[in-house]
Amino acid sequence: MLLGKITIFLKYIFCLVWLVIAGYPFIFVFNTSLKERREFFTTSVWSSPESWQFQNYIEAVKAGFLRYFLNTGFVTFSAVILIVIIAAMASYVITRIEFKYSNLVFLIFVAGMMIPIHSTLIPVYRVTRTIGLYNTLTGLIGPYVAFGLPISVFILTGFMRDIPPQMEEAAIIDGASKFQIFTKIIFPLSRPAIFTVAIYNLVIFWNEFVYALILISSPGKWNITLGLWNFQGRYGTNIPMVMTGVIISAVPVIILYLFFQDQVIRGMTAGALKE
Amino acid sequence: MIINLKNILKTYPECESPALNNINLSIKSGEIITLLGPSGCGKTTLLRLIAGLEKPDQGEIYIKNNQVTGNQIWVPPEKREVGMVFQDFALFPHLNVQQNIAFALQNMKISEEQKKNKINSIIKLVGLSGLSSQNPADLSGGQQQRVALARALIQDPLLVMLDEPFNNLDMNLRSKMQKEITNIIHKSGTTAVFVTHNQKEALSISNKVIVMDKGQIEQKGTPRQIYEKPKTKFVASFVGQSNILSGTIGKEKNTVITPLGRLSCRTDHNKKPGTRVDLSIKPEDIKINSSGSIQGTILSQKYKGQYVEAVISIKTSSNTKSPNKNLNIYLTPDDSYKKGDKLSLSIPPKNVNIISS
Repeated sequence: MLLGKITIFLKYIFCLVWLVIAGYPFIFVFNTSLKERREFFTTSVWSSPESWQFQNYIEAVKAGFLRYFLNTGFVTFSAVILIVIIAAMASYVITRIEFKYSNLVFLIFVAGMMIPIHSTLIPVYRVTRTIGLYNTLTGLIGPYVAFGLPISVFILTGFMRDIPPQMEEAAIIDGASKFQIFTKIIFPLSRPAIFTVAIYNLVIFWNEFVYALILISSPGKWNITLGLWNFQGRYGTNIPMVMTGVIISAVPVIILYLFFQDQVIRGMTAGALKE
Repeated sequence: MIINLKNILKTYPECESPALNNINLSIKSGEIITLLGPSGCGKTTLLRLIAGLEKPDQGEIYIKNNQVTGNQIWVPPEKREVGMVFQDFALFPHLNVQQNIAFALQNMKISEEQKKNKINSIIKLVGLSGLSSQNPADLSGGQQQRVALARALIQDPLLVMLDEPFNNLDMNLRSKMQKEITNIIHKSGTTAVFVTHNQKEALSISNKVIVMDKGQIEQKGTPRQIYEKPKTKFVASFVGQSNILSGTIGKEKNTVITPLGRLSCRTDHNKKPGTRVDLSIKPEDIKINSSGSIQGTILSQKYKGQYVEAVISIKTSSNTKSPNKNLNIYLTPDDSYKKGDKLSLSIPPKNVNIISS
């Protein structure tokens, strides 16, 4: 009895410590974003702002942050939609349609996870320039999709393999075509895994920096991370301004995660427990 | 004939012995058939071959005299006019009852009004009125089963096949659903094939039972024929309990010499005098009779609710190898026999069934 209570108490202590470790950086960033530049240097970094100043946010918008926001949104959502469609279709074919080289195709997809991003920078830059997509937002979508597909196919095939084959057989007897089975049965049933893939890729693309740095040159086409990077240069040591950019860029992702966290967790743990 | 199967052979790549070996079977229109056998005997494979979900290695399948499988002919499942209820029902969890049932109508070239009428009438037939907007997860096992049956019946199939449909239901619901499902099938006028390994279920729901073992048909017949006149040792022991004895046909056709002595037997066999045979006797057919010729001692008793199963040790005739032979008999729970009590038993000749040579 006592041992049980102590165990529960220790669990709560552990959770509390973990909450502080995970939550404090965010609180620090938000706290700093509300300070003036002078205040940041003259007071302790742990102190609360003397008064809540939202001036930094106004400055960020004036500096073109909304533009970066829209650019990032366009590229991220386009890439995520494409990845979900392509990865779901590929996973359906790999897991549900029997053909001789299905395992090989799967291995080729998954092998993509082992390619370091930096080894692809020069080839991607050259290809993008050759096909005339350099310094365009569309030019970012292709590499993002290619970069996100391997892990997405890996997650989705794992999930789709667990969908009972009887579902598909029932649909076949009911006269559904392969395409109808995919769109009306397999795709909706894979919703948790699709949310996982979508959120996972969305977070990566939202924060993506390297491809954006080498494929985009005009400030009007910068994404959020390039904008933040530029803040650092433009404002020198204006740390509160950089923190403001971080908060603005993190909010949409946090909101999305809060809404869909159940789906994401279900997708991640699919097959781990017998339902 | 609705279904005709000729010389069906099916072997799975990972298995040495065939899942189905030379199956010949005809199913008449309106029949309710049960494929009965232990797990792995090939009954589900047979169902899947008829549905077109698998291809046989050899043999031909005809549905309503049209060849659907064999001789390089292959008709896909959706064109075979068969409906199927899967063991786990295979309901689409993201669709509600109405959408599940309507799924089968999506490619049918009928008006929306006709589709609606069809769905409403089938929902009424299976007794799901008022539940059409519920999701499968919100339904009980019995209700889910009725949705699966409605989905199988909505296209007016020539044949509906049900793969162990009552397996996932508890005992009470199982017997209730057996009655309900057979009533619905009778009302719809469809031919039906059930698959089960439950002998009681097979005997109670169908008008023809096909007993299978190791990929082969052991016996076909009415439930009464299968139960009372098993033709093989396997059927005798699988369908109800049986005492299997070996013996020799006596000089007269109606006698058989067994370790229990000379017994009178049924005469509907074509064995010659002196032929070695096996015979089956159901425990419930062995009567306690003070003038009975078989003397035995109670070895053990097991209470089974409606009856008490007793094992009786019978002293065998002197020319047999083992001095004792055990017989299972059923006593009524009111009988006050104890272990070690001596009993005299008799077996009516009509219940001594010759099963093989």
